[in-house]
Amino acid sequence: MAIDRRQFLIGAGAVMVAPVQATASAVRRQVYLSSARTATGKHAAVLFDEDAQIHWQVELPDRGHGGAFRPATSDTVIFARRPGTFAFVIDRSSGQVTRIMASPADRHFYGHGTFSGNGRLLFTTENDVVEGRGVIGVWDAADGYRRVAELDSGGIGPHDIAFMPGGAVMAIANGGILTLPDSGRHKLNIADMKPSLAFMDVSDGKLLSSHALPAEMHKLSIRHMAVAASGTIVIAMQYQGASQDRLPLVCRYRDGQLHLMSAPDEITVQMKNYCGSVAVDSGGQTACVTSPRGNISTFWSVDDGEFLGSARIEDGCGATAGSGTGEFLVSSGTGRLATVSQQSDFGEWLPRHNNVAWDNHISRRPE
Amino acid sequence: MKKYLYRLLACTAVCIALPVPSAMADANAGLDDIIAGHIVPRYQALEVATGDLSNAIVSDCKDGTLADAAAITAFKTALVAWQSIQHIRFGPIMVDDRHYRFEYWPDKHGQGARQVRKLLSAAASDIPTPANIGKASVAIQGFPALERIIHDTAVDNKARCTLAISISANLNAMSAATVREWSPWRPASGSDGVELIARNLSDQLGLMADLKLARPLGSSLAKARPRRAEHWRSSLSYAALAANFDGLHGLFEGENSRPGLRAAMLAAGGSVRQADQMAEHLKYGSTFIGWQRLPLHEAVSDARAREQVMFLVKHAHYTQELVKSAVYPVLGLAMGFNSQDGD
Repeated sequence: MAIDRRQFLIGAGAVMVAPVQATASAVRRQVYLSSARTATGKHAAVLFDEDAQIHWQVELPDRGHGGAFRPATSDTVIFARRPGTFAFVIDRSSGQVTRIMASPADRHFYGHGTFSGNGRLLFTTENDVVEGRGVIGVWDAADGYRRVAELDSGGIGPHDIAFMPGGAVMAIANGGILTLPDSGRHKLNIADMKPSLAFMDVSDGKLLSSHALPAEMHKLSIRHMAVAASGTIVIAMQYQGASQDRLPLVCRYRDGQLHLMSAPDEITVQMKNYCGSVAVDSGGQTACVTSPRGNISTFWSVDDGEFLGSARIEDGCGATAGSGTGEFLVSSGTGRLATVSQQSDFGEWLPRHNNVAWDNHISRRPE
Repeated sequence: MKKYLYRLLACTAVCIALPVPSAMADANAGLDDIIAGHIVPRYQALEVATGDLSNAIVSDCKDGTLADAAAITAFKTALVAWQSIQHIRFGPIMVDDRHYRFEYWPDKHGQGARQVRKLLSAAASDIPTPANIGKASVAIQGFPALERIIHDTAVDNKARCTLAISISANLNAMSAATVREWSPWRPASGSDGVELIARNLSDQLGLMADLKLARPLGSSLAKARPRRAEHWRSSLSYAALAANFDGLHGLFEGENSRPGLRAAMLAAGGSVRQADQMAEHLKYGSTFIGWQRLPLHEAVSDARAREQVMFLVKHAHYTQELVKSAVYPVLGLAMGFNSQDGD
């Protein structure tokens, strides 16, 4: 009952902002979803294409974060940013809000989620605010996004989640950082945080394994990841320790182990101990990691973990695969979208400048 | 190779074409003054105060009990010294987790309570010594653990004394190491120093509003949570907040005959009026706290005194906004949307 009332209240605030540009031709284009801050200071879910043409934007009650496209349907989902409690299901073609999900009582979303390969189930990273325990919420998308189960994430602060190739095993980035709604976004357990990468068998919710970096690196929050078709995972981390410390901020999971990836010192310094997003290109060989605080995006070899190069992109944070091999689309809080590759010295801004500040992530609709 | 040549060319062209603006070239002008006038002297005061605290506890415990008013007074002096430099979250204070070891708070899962209780009932040989307590859990090393021991008079005095002596000696050792390591310390790159100081100023105000004030206040009188106040046991919650404001005021205005962040702000083209406003707001925080009659943990449960706490939340938030709107932009910290607050 409480949830229904909450849904109603949230729903009342949802407004279609822009006229829908979803012409038949536009719908066939490659589309991307991102949260953004609009010119009026409000927050919205925005669907756009590779020409930076905005198809629609839907106002959100607060800042959004990650997104997901439901396979074989036109459902598009945007999740509230930590510690938000809403997720909007929006029709990709029309921009109509079809469902507003609310996290259950004593849970809040962490900002990311993913669908099962057949599109039936949606999995969301959440916090059990009573126990301070990470959980994965399971929702039946075929039954009006009904909450059907809750699984243990295997750590504190689950952030990003993604399916491994084959769709039976889910990778969970347990960031390790405890935050609770009554303390706002302040981080409460930096001194003893224990981030991990956990794998779960989604058929029974059983944790298959959990991987951590060496104990002296426990302040590297395992935050965002991208899974290559080969099963290698590239992980972009955020360091919560002293600002003067210089640690690798990227690692790979491969052959059952985490492997740190190092850039030259002058690059690591520029990354400012903070990575915002990571994406693997369409060829599965190159990863792009964004570091908005240092206005730099770095490129890495997925197979051998080598640093390949970097490009300057002001406030670049959202990243996803671009159309060609080795290409990426990176979004900026300045309202620009850039295409970059390891050959770039600077991001090439797309011509269109949108009057929005692109928020942390871009989700690409799978082909 | 081509790429690197291009980079070299691009750099040369930019370097020739654009003289570096003076504010940028001197991004860390003023940093030495802030270190020499504010940071190091405040840590030196902390070293003296924790030394006095350590001596007071040793002396108090000579009769086998920990109960003297002198120890409690020394605790307050040391705590205030810590709170007045708590805002610095870079440099040597972050080495070896010192900041968390000085104060592990808020302790959401009651780790300090559990571990201190366990140690106080443990065999004497299990209680950490001054030499090895630095390797023990962060939750038992700092001011909150010591506060608990000083005020928990119901348990064995010998154990209380042993643990209190270890904690206070270690606080003194950490203060001394912090002072020692500051002298050669300089930021790793570019504007990291002044940039971090401005961020520390803003973050501390946010933490004071959200964690120290709003959290015990709760959303209504019925939801007040007095024991969420920092240092409620010793009734020093307001004293800690006043020390926070005082330390931030010293950082901004400068002290010990050296200029502070104001000078860096004005040198970069900031307005005197806004700088005055910043200083007044920081000063007013401690002045306003001086007028309060009830300790914070009692005020949150009192219908009328709550309003004063609510005002203080707003005051700290507003002052934080001033930092972001008046100090950040002139120091070149008008950061992008994603850089400011990512996830």
